Amino acid sequence: MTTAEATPLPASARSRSTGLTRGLGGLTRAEARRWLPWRTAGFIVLGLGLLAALYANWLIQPAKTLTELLYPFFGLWFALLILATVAMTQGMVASEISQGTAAWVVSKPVARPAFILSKFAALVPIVVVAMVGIPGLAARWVFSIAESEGQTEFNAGDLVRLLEEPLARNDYMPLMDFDVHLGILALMIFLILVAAAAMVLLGCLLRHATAILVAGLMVPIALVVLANVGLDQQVVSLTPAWAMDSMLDGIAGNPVSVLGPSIVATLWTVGLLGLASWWFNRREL
Amino acid sequence: MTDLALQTHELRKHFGSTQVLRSVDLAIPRHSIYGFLGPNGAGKSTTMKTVMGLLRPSGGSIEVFGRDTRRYGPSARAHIGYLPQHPRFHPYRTCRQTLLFVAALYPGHRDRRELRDHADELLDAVGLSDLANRRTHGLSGGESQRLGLAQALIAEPELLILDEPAAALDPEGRHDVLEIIEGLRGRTTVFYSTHILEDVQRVSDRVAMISNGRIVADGPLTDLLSGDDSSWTIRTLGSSEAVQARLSSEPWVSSVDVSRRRDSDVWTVRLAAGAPEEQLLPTILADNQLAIAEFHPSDHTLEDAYLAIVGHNNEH
Repeated sequence: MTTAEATPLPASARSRSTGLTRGLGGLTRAEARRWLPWRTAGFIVLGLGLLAALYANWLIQPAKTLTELLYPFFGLWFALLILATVAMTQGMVASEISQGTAAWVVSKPVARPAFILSKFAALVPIVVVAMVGIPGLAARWVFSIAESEGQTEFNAGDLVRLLEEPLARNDYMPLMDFDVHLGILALMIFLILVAAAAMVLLGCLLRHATAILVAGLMVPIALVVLANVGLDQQVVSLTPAWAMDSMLDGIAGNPVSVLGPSIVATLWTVGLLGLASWWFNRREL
Repeated sequence: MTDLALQTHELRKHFGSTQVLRSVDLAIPRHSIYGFLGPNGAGKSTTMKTVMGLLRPSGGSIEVFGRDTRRYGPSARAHIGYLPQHPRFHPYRTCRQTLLFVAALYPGHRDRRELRDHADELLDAVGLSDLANRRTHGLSGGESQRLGLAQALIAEPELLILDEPAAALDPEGRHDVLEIIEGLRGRTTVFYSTHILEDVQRVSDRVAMISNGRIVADGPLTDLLSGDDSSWTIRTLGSSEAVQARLSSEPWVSSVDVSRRRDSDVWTVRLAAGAPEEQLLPTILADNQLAIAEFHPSDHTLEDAYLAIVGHNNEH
């Protein structure tokens, strides 16, 4: 019997869902369940912990304004997030391939790209909410405290008042308005997603965890170098380094460009994931 | 609707310059229990992995229920439950969670409670009910094999492909697996590879043998066991050298093997195709120094057939 003559499949297996949608749904849910309880909490604690540490530093050394101390928060926090992303995603694909569980999963009625895309799809809400959203908005609130206090002396007894007053007054620091703050957060999200997509691709291309980790660490370093090496802006604007450049501008208190860099970073993310899916689709397991 | 659950046509696979599958033609009827035999490295696992899409064929075609797997990979696999030779599972899931995870990847919606009950029934059937809540990283090889069988069955597939399902099991586990396969007779097509010829003889109704990447025998088990009916077993008393020499010189005799057992000789005489069987007994009796204690067509076991077919193929 030829393919064209093939009769309908038995009723028990007929379904409107395809191997891609069903696989993506099932695998993403399964993957997200792994992330949700502890890793998500870990990222929230990481961000809030860093924020609390900087705040505590200001309590001890009130000579500087809180704003001066909190600006580095974005840079430090972003570096930590990138490192955490690289560390936590380095085995996401490669270990499943080497342990044989990838072969087990794709022997089920799922399309191979679903396996790759589910790894990424499960990460997106964690990045948006836990890694960037919650600590980022908490930072916004602490900035508003800084604005309310200015350079005045501070003692720990004022803490409760400081926690309450900015919320009541709803006033913000003039050096970084709310749009800039959100823009930095958005760029941070897109850059982390680029890094995660690059890690997924590296997991498909390389076999050894150490090689993936080293190559993964080169990604943010390359972005920083590209953003600062003095390349023509037109060249930079073709890469995710544009988002990095723009984010660094925002952190320095300059106007931040969000839309263009976000689109470029998104295109890179899609391209890297497409390449990873294509490669994995061809791979023998 | 096609009567074949699985069909391969001139399936080929090479790894670099090593040709593993030369031309594999299989036609596995629906609802058959199909044993797949062959020596190590013959291409059994490679055939199964290629059918499952884990390896890319170098040539030929594969159809599952009449559908080309290159075009309809995932939807073809929706009919298949697969147990790999060395099953691997996500170590962070329990045995029950593993079954529910697999079930979620198959099309069709089942009530969660019903699915959980089904998973527990399967765990019970493979002897893992006590380990339902244990994470899979703690399972022994035999337990993994049992869980592998359960996950292959969880979606109630119409075609079950089992790569050495009893290889890591103790006799009790092997018995359980055969019972499960036997219980699927008439409802599910089972295509399984094994080295244990006794198991094949017990449950299979069709057998394919592969050697050096080619199918060298394929058909109903009864046909293979009926064997070469021109092979005869004779037990004689007395001196046999002269008769043996005379018989061996006959052009219609392929081979004569004689083994000594206590006070008698046991002969296995294979006759060439189209040989005049009626001449065999008179030829032996022509020498009146011999007394015939037994004379009957040889019994064939699957092992005889396997050794004859695969051994013959390896010689060439």
